[in-house]
Amino acid sequence: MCGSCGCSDMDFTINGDARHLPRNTHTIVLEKNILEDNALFSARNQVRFKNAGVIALNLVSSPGSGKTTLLTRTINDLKTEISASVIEGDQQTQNDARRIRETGAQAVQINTGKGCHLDAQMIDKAADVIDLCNIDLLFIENVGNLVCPAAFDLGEAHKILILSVTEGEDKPLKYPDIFHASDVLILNKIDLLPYVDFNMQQCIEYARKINPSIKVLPLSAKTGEGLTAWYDWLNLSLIKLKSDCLTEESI
Amino acid sequence: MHELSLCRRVLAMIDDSARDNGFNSVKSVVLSIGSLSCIDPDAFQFGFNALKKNTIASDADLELHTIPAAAHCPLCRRDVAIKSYGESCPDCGNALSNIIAGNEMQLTRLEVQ
Repeated sequence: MCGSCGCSDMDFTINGDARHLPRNTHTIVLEKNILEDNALFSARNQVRFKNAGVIALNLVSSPGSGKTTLLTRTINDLKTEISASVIEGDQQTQNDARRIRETGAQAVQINTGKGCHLDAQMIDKAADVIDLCNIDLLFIENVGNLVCPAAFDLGEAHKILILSVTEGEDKPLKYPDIFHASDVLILNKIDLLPYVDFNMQQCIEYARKINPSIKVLPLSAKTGEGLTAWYDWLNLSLIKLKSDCLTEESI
Repeated sequence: MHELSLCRRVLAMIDDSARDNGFNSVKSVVLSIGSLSCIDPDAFQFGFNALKKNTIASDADLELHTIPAAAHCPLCRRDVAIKSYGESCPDCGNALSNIIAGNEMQLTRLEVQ
């Protein structure tokens, strides 16, 4: 029975309360993805980066995990081999972009204001001022947030999740979406392990429960321990990209 | 909260549809939301009620259908209902990481005049 007028001509329920539609209504079936716009920009970005021979990496984490320190260390250490630019995302300030620029690399800062994540259209716009054809890697440092960035693809080749050992080993269970969406888990600040109660083995087990194929790289951006494996992964990704391009050209 | 930006997106999609289909008012907005998606239904309802004022959907009821999540077990070759990430197949114990349903965020239909 309709909750408004008592008739039995019911079309649908809202919160268990039967309703009928006003007369002269008709149905428009849309079945459209609410994030369709982001999906379109993301696909466009993906093609654009591939055509330019660039690997785009979306770095996600809580605030304070050490993303910017890791990026400055990576860019400096690999300066003679790999060329990189960075898109920085924060609610406010140019601070992180300034830190990146001190390495000599180009950095474009996006301030999201009240926004809690970067989206693909923002990346599309930022990429317009980057010389994509002359770089190998485009690092996108997302807004510090373990929740929202999981749902917003930017056109990246991989999401790289950075978790510091000061954050607690059960983060994969607490924030499963972002762990499921990421291909690489960097466990940063391992130089602090003697001073914190962080069970690394347990954290890795939890992460693999959510995402069995996630690659785990424990390291310290401060001391340099474990960075070789991260640099090897970057180099391998670049080799794979070049090899994929050659395969497509020969077809 | 990003539910507000998603509500704005839905209202913009409704405006686009009004232009394409020539209707003047919306009586019902039906969304299909996966149980694993980033949308919190209560937050979305709150945002929609706040933002729909002075739009073509100002009188519209919001109906949220939840789509249950499922994953495919490659060993058993069957789909398994799940409630969250990190579950294992109840038959073979394999980690269920191939999610096939539950992340949808769809504007499904409108009832309009």
